[in-house]
Amino acid sequence: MIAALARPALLQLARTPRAWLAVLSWGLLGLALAALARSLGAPNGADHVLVDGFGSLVTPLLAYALTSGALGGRSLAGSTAPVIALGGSPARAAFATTCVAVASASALAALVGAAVAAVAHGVDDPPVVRDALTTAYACALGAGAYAAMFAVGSTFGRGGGGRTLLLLVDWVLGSRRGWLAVLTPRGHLRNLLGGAPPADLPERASAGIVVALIVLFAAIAVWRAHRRAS
Amino acid sequence: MTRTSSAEAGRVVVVDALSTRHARLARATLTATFEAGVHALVGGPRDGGPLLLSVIAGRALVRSGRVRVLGEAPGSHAIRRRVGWVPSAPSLPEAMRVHEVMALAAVLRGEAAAPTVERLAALGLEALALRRVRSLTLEERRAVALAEALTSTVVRVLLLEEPLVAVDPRAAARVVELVRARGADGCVALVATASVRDAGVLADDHLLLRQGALVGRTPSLDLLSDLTPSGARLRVVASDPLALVTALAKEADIETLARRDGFVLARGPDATRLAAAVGRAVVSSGVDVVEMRLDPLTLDEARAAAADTTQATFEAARARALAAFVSGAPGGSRP
Repeated sequence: MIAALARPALLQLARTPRAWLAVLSWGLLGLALAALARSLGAPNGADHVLVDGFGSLVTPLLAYALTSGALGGRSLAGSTAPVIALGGSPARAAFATTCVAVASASALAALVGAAVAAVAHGVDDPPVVRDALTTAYACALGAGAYAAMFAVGSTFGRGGGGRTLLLLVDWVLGSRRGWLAVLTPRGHLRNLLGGAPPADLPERASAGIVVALIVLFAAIAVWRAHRRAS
Repeated sequence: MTRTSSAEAGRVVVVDALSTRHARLARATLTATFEAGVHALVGGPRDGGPLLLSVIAGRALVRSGRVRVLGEAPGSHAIRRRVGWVPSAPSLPEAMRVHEVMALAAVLRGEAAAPTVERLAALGLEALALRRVRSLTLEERRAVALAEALTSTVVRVLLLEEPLVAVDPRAAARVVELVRARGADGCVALVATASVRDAGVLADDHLLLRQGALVGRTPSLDLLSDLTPSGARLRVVASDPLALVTALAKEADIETLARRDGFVLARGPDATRLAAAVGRAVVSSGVDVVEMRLDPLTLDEARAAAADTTQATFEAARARALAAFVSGAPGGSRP
């Protein structure tokens, strides 16, 4: 049943060229930053690009583009309305759509993140394969948290405009190193990619919190979409 | 979730003292029950018909009162899959093809797999099967939504908003037959329409709504034409309209006459006397009649007639009750 409910969101993503154009643009930007670091011959180019460019700019925007694409640019309740009208459960439809957004953002961010780590690899960076795998894991977690957060944002506003607001909130709060950054994917992603940790948390704690954030955000999104549809 | 009481058995949809948070049904409370068959909610959008459909579909909030669909609260998961709701702008998954939408609906409703093309063919829409939903016009989209709801074997409650308006012409011709067949099949079909003609064609039970209140309920809108203050109207297409008008002018039962675009419009006190007068005029003038039909009432005429009938029924019942009370009372006039 969940697979059937996920199909409209998957096809929405796969068959909307506009969504792919945005995803492609952000992916290319990440690779361009990596190529630039490599051409400058930075000894730890991957570190710099991943923390400063890819983690802070490309990953959130990639997740934003994928979430908007899966939802067809609408609110979460609006995007699930067609399947609810055909007899689907509002909660299950919202869950399936959120899963599509989280899974696609995680997969794509992991792929692009690994490619960026490989391209920007410098002499002082860890071995390339290990670095690419670690980056993929960190980006998958971070992008998943972003997608779940944007799914919550999509339950606010008629067209789901709340996700743009949450992107800005994450930007403002997550860029700091205090306790407020613990609530945002940005702070933890920075920590997982080797940057400054939020509230001096170890990497392992950040990974756990990111997983908890994904579950929490997804639960809030499903609850709010269900409440709006019922 | 409350199960249906035994008194409600057989009544598929029960609306009891309903008022909604929406202004259109906030001012009046509505009570009605619907059993298997086709029922028309006659009135414009402001009279609350479409809103009542969305309440029954579980998509609009109730302020007070009670609504039960197949014995359950509307919008519950068990009920949702058995309700086919086709509003004026139905929402379908944009990125899917029409046959994919039909297959998805079958999975969600839990019905046995049936060839989607066959289901679409019921409304003559098989050519749309491979089209993407986002490429469909509103008329085609409405036709697809109607085909899905009308051909589902699981749906027991059909909620249709203006099913004969803004529908693909291929489907429009078959909608009436299909809706009536589903009604005869044990489904409840509620049709919200502002057209008295469409209501007459589709349904056997007509609820006339005004600003959220039920002003009357009648099995036949034609019967109401005898009760309107403006009388009945007959439209006649004849071989020689001028000769027919001349003959009609001599009839005492004809109140007004008009000749428009090749047809003659005659108004009389009621349908029976009007038809008799026209018949006499046709015979005396010797014209050939191409077409003759009773002009449907306007919405306001139907509502006025239904309200008068309801008032008269109420007055008669009150008079009977009063008479029974007087005759039964001690010292009354009973022999």
